[in-house]
Amino acid sequence: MTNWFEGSLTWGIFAMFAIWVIVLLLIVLGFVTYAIYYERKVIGWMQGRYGPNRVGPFGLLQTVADILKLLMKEDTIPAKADRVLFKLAPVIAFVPSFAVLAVIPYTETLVFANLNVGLLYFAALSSISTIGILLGGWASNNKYALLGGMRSGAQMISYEIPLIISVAGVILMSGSLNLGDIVKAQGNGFWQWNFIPQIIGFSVFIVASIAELNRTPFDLPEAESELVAGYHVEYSGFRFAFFMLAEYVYVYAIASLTTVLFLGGWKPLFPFLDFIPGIIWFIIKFLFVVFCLFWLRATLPRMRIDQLMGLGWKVLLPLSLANLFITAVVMEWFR
Amino acid sequence: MRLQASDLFYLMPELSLLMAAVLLTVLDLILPESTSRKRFGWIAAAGVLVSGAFVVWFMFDIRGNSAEYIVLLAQSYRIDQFANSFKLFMLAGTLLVLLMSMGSLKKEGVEHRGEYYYLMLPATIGGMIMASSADLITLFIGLELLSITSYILVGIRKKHLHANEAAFKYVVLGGIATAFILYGMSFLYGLSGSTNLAHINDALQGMDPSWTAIVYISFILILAGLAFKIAAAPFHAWAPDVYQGAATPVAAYLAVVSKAAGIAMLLRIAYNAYYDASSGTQPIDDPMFAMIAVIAAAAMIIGNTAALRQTNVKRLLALSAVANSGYLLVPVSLQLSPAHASNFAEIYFYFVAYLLMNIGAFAVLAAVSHVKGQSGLDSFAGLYYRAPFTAVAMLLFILSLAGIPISAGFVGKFYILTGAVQMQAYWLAAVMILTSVISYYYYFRIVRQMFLKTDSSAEKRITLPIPLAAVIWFCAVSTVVLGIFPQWLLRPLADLFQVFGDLFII
Amino acid sequence: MSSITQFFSSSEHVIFFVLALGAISGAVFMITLSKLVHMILSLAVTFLSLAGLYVLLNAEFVAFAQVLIYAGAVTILMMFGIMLTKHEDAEDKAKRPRHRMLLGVSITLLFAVLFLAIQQLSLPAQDALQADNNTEAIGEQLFTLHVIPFELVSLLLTVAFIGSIIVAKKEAE
Repeated sequence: MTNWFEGSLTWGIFAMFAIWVIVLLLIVLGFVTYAIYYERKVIGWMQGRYGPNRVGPFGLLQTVADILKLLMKEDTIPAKADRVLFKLAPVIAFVPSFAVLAVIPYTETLVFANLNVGLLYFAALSSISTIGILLGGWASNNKYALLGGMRSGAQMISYEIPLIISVAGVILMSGSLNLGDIVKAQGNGFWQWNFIPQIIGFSVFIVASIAELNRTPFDLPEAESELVAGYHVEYSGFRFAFFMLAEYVYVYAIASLTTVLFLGGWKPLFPFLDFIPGIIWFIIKFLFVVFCLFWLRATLPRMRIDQLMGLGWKVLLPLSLANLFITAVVMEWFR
Repeated sequence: MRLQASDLFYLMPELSLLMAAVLLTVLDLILPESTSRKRFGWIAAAGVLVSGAFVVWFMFDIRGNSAEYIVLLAQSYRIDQFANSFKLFMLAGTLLVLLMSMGSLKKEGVEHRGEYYYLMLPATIGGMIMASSADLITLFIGLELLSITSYILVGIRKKHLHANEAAFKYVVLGGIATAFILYGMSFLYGLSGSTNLAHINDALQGMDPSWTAIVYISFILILAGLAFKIAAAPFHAWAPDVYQGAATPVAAYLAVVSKAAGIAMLLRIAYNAYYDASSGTQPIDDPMFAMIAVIAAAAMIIGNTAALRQTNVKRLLALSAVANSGYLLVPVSLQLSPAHASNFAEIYFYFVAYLLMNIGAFAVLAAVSHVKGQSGLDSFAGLYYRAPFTAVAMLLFILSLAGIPISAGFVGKFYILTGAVQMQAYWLAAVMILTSVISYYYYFRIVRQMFLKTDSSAEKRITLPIPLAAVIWFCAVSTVVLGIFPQWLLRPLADLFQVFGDLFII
Repeated sequence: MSSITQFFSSSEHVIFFVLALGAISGAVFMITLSKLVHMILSLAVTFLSLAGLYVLLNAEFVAFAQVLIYAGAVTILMMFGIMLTKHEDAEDKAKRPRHRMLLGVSITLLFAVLFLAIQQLSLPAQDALQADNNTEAIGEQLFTLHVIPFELVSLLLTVAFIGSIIVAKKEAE
């Protein structure tokens, strides 16, 4: 990654960076727009409803309309809020969520930053978003917002630990923190992917990642029925849009990460199917993971805060440690 | 280079303490709340004894094999007589403090007695590592282990206002001192590219003249940080508050074990990293040792004069500990020369004397202040009439602290003084004599209280718990014995210790 | 003047300059701001800038560990500490001008000494470390050469953990 900095800084290089960033941003925005549509459709289907179907053909423009509505809303800041932090918080929450996408390898060649500590980069940056959420809750000067922010902070910190430790088993097996190398260490054919030997780690990862995303059944920070709307209760307009955007970009990021770490990235399901390009495989698996996230939301009720903490510290953490230990022992045994 | 399973044997002194601590932790969890935690002290003491047995074994082993030093992982851990003797000293100090605690913790208001016992053992492990390593990383971790555990031990009396204040001050100031040490170490690492003291010394001998200023800065930073840890002036301001706030056994622990660990680390760094540092051909280490001398003088002067106005015995003993740091730093600051190579023996003898008299004094204080529930000077009033034997023991400790003949303290001070005169550090010797004379004043105020005042309010006699009495009498008898027969300790020390290999790592 | 333009023509230098500025200004604001939450946020800026500097030095592992632990965990922990405890939101301005002036003078002196010492330092040129996989190298060192301090750190953390429980736990009277 250092060769970025070496050479001289010409406008050409700078422009190239900028263009790539904008392309990625557009892809992500497109994803978010249709992820929301997809989510509403899936949930509607599961609940025996139609979901959005009025705006545009099949309701395809529903989210666009929602975004336009958000952007045109009045931008309110509560009188007693801490104005600087109130404005800063959505940015702090969003920027890391976008920055983590840089290290995701879509195919062997299509990766924005081939970082040798990619996984650590992902974990590190995503922990910064929590600061944004916490600050947003605090700066609003509203008790519901503060409670939501605190819950979110506590939850994200608690679940980050099992999340990272569960991934350590994968790191042991592939001997690298580079996400591309982790995919390369998995073979063509689903029986060679990490989720089978790492089944404990995989389960812990899925549960912990849903908690990291603040999604049902772990959506306590924004529990509508008890906290009004959680940390963003005072936000409206495009600041609120930023928080929502950050949330969905993390869905994108975590789904990609699950694909890369456990589901073989761009590798085909069976070896004889490898004529299908890697990017297609990646997208299929990715969409499957996203679907599972929505599916869970439609089927599971919300947990209580004490159950949530107990699950994190008393179940997931010991499980992930046991997974790490077993992986190490087995690898030493069969070396 | 890796640690083999067989090398674990050499870590047994630390491991046996660790095992005792783990055992106590588990027991504390299993046992119901109502069970007394008093026996924990005996388990901890047993761990200390086992650890001490291993240290003694290694001592004889090295001596028998004519100086076969055990060095693990590129000096990260080494066993030599320097390390062994300091370890033995710290273990003895811990043992006495543990015995002292068993008789006094309840009255001191320490509610977490289980935790108290199993925190004291890791603290001692930290101190032992500080004596037993020649690698900056390991030394630093040892220091942190000792410091952080001491912060907790000071603050363990949660409902005690003085203890809260003391713990808070100690954490904040101690953290800053640690930062100083780390900053100084970072320069050493940056210049030499190694954390191994031997490599650092290689890099500093005949270094580029442009390094001089940075090397001085690094030394000053490390010295300032360590001077804080051993409570040497002008970095001593925390000591009176912390000693006063801490439970009496904890104060004794800080005064003796902590100080020994700090001095051991300072000796290691000064004599192994900076000794013979020279820019080009110009030696530059003399000013560094002069800085240690200045700190020694400052500690003696400030400690002894500040104690003059103290009426609280704990604070008084804290300031006396500051002065004693000064005495102990004198031989550190005198470099080695063919005419004078007994620095280590001087330090060690004085340390042993200091251990006996200081722990003895703190034990008497623990016994006395319980009765009155405070530690003002008047808690000693009429002690002779209430507990004549204890008063006599205290008299012995005070004679030793003041440096009156026929006591271990006198021999120790005299020995240090001769060393200073041999190295022609006359000004340091003069400061030492003068401040010792000043110290008579405040030491004898305690004596006057004990023998000349009668206390009308508390006529009842003091009865001592057996462990506490044992500590007092052990210390008192040893102080006298060492005062009369100093050669009983000096001769084995001279036999045991070699400058090359023990003080200087090879 | 031309040397300055030359300095900024390399992207490495520009990035270094920005990060150094961030680290220093974060630290300065940490001291001068009056609201605790603002202080912590500026401290986080310092942490992040330092992480960026580590990346420039080819120490990616240290850099992201820094982000994960300092910018992430430590900052959030401090915010929790502040939000969960009673405190005066903004601290008063110090009332001892003479004390502050003395402090200012001595800090300036300290800075001057350090600056001059570093200024005159000349280090022999060394090959830049080829750290393609320094994560692995760090891991190996931790578990071989530095295994004793590594294990001691685990003891240290346990002790600190027990200690914090003793101090913080609310007990039944």
